[in-house]
Amino acid sequence: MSFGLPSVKVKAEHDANVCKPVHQSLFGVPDPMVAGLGSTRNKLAVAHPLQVSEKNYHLNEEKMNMAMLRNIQGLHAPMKLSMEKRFTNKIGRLPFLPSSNLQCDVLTGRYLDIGFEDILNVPELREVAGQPHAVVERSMGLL
Amino acid sequence: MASVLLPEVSAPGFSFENCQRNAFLEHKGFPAPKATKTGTTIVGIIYADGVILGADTRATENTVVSDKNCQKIHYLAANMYCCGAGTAADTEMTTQTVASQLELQRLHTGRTVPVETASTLLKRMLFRYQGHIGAALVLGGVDRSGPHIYCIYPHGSVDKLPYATMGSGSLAAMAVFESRWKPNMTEEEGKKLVRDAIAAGIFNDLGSGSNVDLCVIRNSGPAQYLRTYEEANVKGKKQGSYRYTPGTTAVLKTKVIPLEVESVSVQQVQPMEVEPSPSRR
Repeated sequence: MSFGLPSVKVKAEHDANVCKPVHQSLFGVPDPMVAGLGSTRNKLAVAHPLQVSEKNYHLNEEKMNMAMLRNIQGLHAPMKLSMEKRFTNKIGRLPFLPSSNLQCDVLTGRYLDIGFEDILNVPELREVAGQPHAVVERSMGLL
Repeated sequence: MASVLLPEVSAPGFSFENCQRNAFLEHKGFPAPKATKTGTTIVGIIYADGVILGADTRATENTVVSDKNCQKIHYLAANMYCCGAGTAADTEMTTQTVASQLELQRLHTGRTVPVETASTLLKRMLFRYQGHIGAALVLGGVDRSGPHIYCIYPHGSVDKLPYATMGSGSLAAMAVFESRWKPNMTEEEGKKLVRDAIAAGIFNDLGSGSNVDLCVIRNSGPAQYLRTYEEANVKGKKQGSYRYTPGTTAVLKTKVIPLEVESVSVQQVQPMEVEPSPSRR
């Protein structure tokens, strides 16, 4: 029996799952003066079937759980939980500075979990970093 | 999205940067090397006092044996072990990840973790990666509600059975189980049955071979990991010596170039001060 819940397995037609290049200017492609020539070509094709699914995995999982919670307990329950999660995004440091996201982890239960996100490609060992002014301008929408 | 000032940072976790490059290389005629598979026979049964897990010890790379004595029974918790078939690295990393998650769970709740928790964690992880993680597992353990054997497939489906076999030699081993398994066997009968099932896989399947490993997990007391319970394939002893005596080949010319040590210097290296790191995500 299917309740039409959003699935964890990725469906291409869902909004969050389509690989759209962000920050488009004219003609739906990134501005070459900002992003560099040839920046769009890499984004169009999907390199691996899991790429899209992994990018939005936690979002999709959250959506599925909230949909089930709404069906069981009514609209108030997911609203309360989403509100608390939204609070955790508002506190914290500027976009350039590293943030532990501890409150978000505690609310989602991921502080008790060890997954591939803690072993592979951890932010502390990253070799590239953006310029702080540019990062803040991007987060404010100026760049 | 990216610019010169803002290079695109990939999220923590798997990075798919090289997939496009790999596809391009394969298209041009340079396919990626094959991962080591285990081509295995792994089995698990429930007997009177608990569970017995068994595995062979051969790891193959296509048609070449890459490891003659590998360990296919992985530790998950004190009361649970997991046999792995499929890609060797995938089974190893998956079981290690789930073992650490189970330890965290045990510390958080303060109780021994039920076997069902391990099976749920494994199946959620395998479903998340849609079968790209090639790990087929036989999970066996004992908890408060008794002994359990679970059979977990690479795409994330789980079977709960009294006896299970997986791997390329699973048909040979299952034939042995179907004819001789009965409920409430003694430990000796159970060990013999598992040994015979693995031997059937070793001798009738090309992907399985070498020795038999057993793991006995009882209702009470520690688990017993019998590494190399039996060496089913012993390498033959050489009949004579094939070495040539020194002097068989005549020496025509000798030239010695001594290496002179010019100077020796010892440098003390101080360990770097590293701050403890905060949690991420």
